[in-house]
Amino acid sequence: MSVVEVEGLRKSFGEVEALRGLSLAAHEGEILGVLGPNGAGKTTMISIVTTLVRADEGTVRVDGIDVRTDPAAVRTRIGLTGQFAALDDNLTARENLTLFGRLLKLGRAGARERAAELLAEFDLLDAADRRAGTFSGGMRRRLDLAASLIGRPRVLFLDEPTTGLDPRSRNSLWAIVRRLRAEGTTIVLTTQYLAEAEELADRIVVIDHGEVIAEGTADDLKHRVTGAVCHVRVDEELMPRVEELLSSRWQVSRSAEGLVVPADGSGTLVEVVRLLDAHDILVEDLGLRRPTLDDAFLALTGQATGS
Amino acid sequence: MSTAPATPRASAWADTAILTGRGLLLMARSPATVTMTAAFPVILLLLLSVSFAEIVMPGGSYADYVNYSVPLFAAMGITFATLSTANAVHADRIAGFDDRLRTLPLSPVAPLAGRIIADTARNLATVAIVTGVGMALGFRFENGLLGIVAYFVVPLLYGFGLAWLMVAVALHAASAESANAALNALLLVLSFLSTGFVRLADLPGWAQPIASANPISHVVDAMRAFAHGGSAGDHLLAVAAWAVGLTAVFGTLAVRRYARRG
Repeated sequence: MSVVEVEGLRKSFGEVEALRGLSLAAHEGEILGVLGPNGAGKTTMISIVTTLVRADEGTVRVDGIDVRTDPAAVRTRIGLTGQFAALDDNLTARENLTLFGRLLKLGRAGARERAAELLAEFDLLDAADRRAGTFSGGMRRRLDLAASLIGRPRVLFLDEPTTGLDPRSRNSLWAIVRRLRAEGTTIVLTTQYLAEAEELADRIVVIDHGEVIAEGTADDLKHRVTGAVCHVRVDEELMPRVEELLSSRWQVSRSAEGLVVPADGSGTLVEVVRLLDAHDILVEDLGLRRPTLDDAFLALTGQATGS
Repeated sequence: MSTAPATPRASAWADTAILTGRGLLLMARSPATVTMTAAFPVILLLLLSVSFAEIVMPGGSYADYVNYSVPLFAAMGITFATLSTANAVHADRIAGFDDRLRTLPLSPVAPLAGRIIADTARNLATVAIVTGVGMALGFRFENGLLGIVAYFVVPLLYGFGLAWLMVAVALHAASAESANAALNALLLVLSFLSTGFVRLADLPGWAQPIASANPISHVVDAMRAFAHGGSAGDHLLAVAAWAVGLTAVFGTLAVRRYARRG
């Protein structure tokens, strides 16, 4: 069943339409990846679902409860880890967790116990009595995540949880997310990194300009880009010229590896080689390959992701 | 659907107490903020007593003017300390700490009230420090223990009400800098257009009605009466009315704004 149901969500900030009728659902026990470029409306959607912001239109139900009519009940069921750590920097890690635990009505002893539990679980025992302000980025994110879990929420919202983290911290956070899923927590995770969505999410919803533009598993989305793609890499200086050349014949997109055009069998490869050769362009790398999730995203949104 | 926790009733009092505890803990952790708050009125006391004593009370002694002016500087200390209450509320908002609180099943009164109540302890320290320095310069309590207690309660009451105004402004302000500048000016005008520095009769005619209504005048006059004797009743009533009024109006505005969801 759906633990989070979002239907026809609309939200404008002045002239800017952040959400234009967005609908999605997260099922019990799954990790739903919400993938989209910067400004797609991911954070606005999360803010509405977690009761921080009110929608202009549309409904949101968490665990069957309407966010608009009973935000207090929704708050007992959710945890949120945003892009910026929501902590008191002048309190220690332990004090932060104990404070939030007491506000969640765990009682003084209960809050202290839960804090100790989470500090151990998140590998923060050594730093437990240091002020949160002295923590590194990765430790802060872990502490923030621990703070989101004090009330054992049914749904955990992670808004770009690994943005700004080094690879090691990112891997440790991924491991924690997987463990939480294994324990049965439903997780809604926004990301602009395809790799992250592919790595963690059971299902992916791709959003752009405040709307859902595709939905499915990573494999489903890859199949959206049928056939193969031809990728071309040339010297950085030549890129604009080559892009223009290729654009005259194909729909070109830019990716991390260079330029990508949809390939209609090996014929496309040959045509690309001939075209570039005719203009005396030296190619660094060229080939045919199966589409990746990146290609699917590019094809869907017309722009590259943050990866 | 099995383990959904029951909705705990938002318990405003318990939440406020917990967040007051946080405020006190932070204060205990950085005693410098308390000292800094008290330093401003103490410096004023030292500087202005020297320069004003002769003008306000010709023929009077230095101790006479100190006896007269200590309540004012205590009240000014509290007045300007409400700025840091407002700034702290603003800082919580910017730092994202509030986002965490706002995703918890928490009364929207609690974060603001907790901060203001904790800062009342800081205000108490301010009054005590200013009065202590004043006593070294000749300030005396001449009205018994109850008078001393009332002397301390009056400015705290006022500080509580004024803090709600400041917090409401902080939550509505577009920029912290401009709000600070505007409030600073307002507080300074309020401090001078009162019976704190000079007697009512010595103020220019146009300023007298302002000074009569000014809460700082009533705070200071009530404190003087409680310290030295004299009738404090009307002033106490006026201070209480100001405190209740400010809390009701600006407390409502502040809490409503705090609870508002974008």
